[in-house]
Amino acid sequence: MGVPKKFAGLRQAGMYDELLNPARKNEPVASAILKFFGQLSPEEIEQARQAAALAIETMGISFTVYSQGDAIDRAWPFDIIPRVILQSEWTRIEAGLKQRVGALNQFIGDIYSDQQIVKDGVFPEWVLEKSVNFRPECVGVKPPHGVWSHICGSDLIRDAKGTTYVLEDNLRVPSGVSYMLENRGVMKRIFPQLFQNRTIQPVDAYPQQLYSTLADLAPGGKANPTIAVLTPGIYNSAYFEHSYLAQQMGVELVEGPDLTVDDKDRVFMRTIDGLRQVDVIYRRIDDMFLDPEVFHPDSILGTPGLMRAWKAGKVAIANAPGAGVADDKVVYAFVPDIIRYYCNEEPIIPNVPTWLCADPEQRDYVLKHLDEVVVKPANESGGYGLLVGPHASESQRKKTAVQIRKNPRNWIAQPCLNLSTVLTACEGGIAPRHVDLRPFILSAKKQAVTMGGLTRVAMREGSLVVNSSQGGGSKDTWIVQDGGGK
Amino acid sequence: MMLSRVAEHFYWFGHYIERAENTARIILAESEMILDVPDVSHVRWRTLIETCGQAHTFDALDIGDDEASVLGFLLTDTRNPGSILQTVLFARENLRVIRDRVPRELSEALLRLRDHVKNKGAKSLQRSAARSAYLRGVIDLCQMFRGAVEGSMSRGPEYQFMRLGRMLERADMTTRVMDVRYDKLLPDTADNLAGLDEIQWVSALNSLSAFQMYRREVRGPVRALDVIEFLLHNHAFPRSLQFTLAASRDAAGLLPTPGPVCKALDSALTKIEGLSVASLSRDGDKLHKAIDNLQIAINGVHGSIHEAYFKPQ
Repeated sequence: MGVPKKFAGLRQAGMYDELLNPARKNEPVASAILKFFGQLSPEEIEQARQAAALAIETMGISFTVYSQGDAIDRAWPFDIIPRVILQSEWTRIEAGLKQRVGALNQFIGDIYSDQQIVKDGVFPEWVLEKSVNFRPECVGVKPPHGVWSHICGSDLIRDAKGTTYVLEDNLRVPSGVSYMLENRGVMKRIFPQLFQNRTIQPVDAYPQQLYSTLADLAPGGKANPTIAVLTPGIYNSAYFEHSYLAQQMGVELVEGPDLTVDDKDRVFMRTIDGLRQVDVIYRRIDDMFLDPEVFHPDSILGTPGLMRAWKAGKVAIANAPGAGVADDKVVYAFVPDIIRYYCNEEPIIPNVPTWLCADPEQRDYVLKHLDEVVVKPANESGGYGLLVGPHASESQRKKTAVQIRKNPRNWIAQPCLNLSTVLTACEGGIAPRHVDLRPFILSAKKQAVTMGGLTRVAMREGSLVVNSSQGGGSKDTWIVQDGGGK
Repeated sequence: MMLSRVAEHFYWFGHYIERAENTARIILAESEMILDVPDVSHVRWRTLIETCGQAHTFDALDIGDDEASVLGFLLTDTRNPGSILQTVLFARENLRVIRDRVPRELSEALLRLRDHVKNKGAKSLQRSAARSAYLRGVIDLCQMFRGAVEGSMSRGPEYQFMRLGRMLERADMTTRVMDVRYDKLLPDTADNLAGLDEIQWVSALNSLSAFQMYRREVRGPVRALDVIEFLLHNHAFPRSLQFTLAASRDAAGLLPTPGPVCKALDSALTKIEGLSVASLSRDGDKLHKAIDNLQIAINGVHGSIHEAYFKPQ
């Protein structure tokens, strides 16, 4: 029990480490993990890292990056030390996520119908007026079960005091769940002994839950509907995941040109046996590329007529077109109010305090404190356009300031939280690295949350950027019984 | 359930692997034959380009037809869609789409082939020993790939589409070898050296790895018409036209609604069977026309497959 001597010096003041802090309080699983890794020699750790890399390569777990016009498959970066969350805490987080996504879905539905929340003065109209993700084409549509974002990935972080916050909600096409599933597989291969005599909640219910969520959307409640995953194709960075999920669910992986919409607004896929009707589409393509009849007319990724079919209720699309209206960092700032408004409850998981640059007073504050805050564009994902004030150069800060003044609506800022760390096997030995957590929330008839989620880790010392496109890695995430119960 | 796009990827996957292997065989046979030719000024490297069916692309590039240019074009030039490197890269792209439907061994074999052909500079392959090792490596790895296909892949539509692609690619190559070889051997070559004729026909057989099997069937000197007869009609040799199209017919018969494709294949087979080599004698024009006709029939088969399975409905 406790922290082995070897790691005692790694604890940094003003930091929360997801293994060291619980182990100091004699939490049994964190203590056992530290003990296990503390006993391994540097050579053994290196061997385990290599075994993990090999397993990832043989299992074909990859993501695609672009370099000089070439698509290259990179092995998925994985760290061998797991991250632990206690069941009691997880139960609270799970409830908080369901509450949050439930409210967000009501909000999206409201925005595309009566906009009662605007009329009641809780949500300002100006946010919608300048929203790049508001789709006028979706006004009046009533998707099944009133759900718009069927698959949501919300990013959670923990600060130095140990408080968990929601950092952002990805309501459009969040990715990463396949890596969460595969990380567990890799971990079981390389350290089976760690799983013995211990209850670590399994994560593999997800594909079946995803299937049920999608099947619940079938028009007319059709039994055994035909489901397809719609991918932009092999050059997309998440193509591995698209292919993996289709395979795990036993459904077809289609590209836009595989689909066709007839004059009765039915969607079909082209097969060697002729046309076959599709009932539910899990799309991994952005709104603007879905249907050239309605959005980008020159998109070759989508299918002409898809929006017609969806609006006519002949096909279900997950996530629904337009769901991204709530996936805007300006909207984010209002989520606590949104929860109170629709659920009549206090938010279970707090938001990170957020300054809206659209507000002159808040903008002034941000511009004066650029060296302290994190500045984010309202509508980007993957860590693009992000400015971490304290780590940025003067010229980077100046550049961002110019952009903020030019288009204040497009920018928000947050205090630079000291993200929690987890001990990580780095090239120079075991050291703390910053992490976040992306659980996935499924919503249709019922809601379900992944058991834990994808822990992403910034592999570079001190870095706060965890995105795989920016050199981040990942860890297996364990939900364990309090007190180490068996 | 199989998407048309996925079926098409399997079909081309079969084409690409076969093309990489065939190209390697042809270059290898030609390189070895050239060692037997007393005066290298008679050697026309360009023949290889014609045999590979890439004259059009090659001429458009205007890069000269010496040994280095021709081989660079056929081995490593990504501007040539039929170069060994480019065909393997195409196959690799196809694999991304079909990976979840093929055994892992097969993916691994293809990645080994990709590693073998990638990052090989054209310069390093100019030395004939290095080139020969490279080409044999390509052939070996293609064989290994096929071993994985034969040994561990279910005989569903995936397999049949791949097999169709492979067999039609092969048929195409066999017709071109006959055509180009014949063209170069017409008697008007006044400076033709005695014995060269036979050497070239042996090389033609070698480029289809047919020499040994031919020998077992046909005795005596290697003569043009006997070779043509063997490559057209032999029922047992796996690269003869008769064999490749009959195998395609088998594969097509196992697909859904096979009618139109089988019909196109039957018509091509009838043409082959009706072709009497004796009647062609050594009249080059007649043979060219006959081969042209066969190529049209093979294209017809390709068209019927496209129409029946791949075309947007």
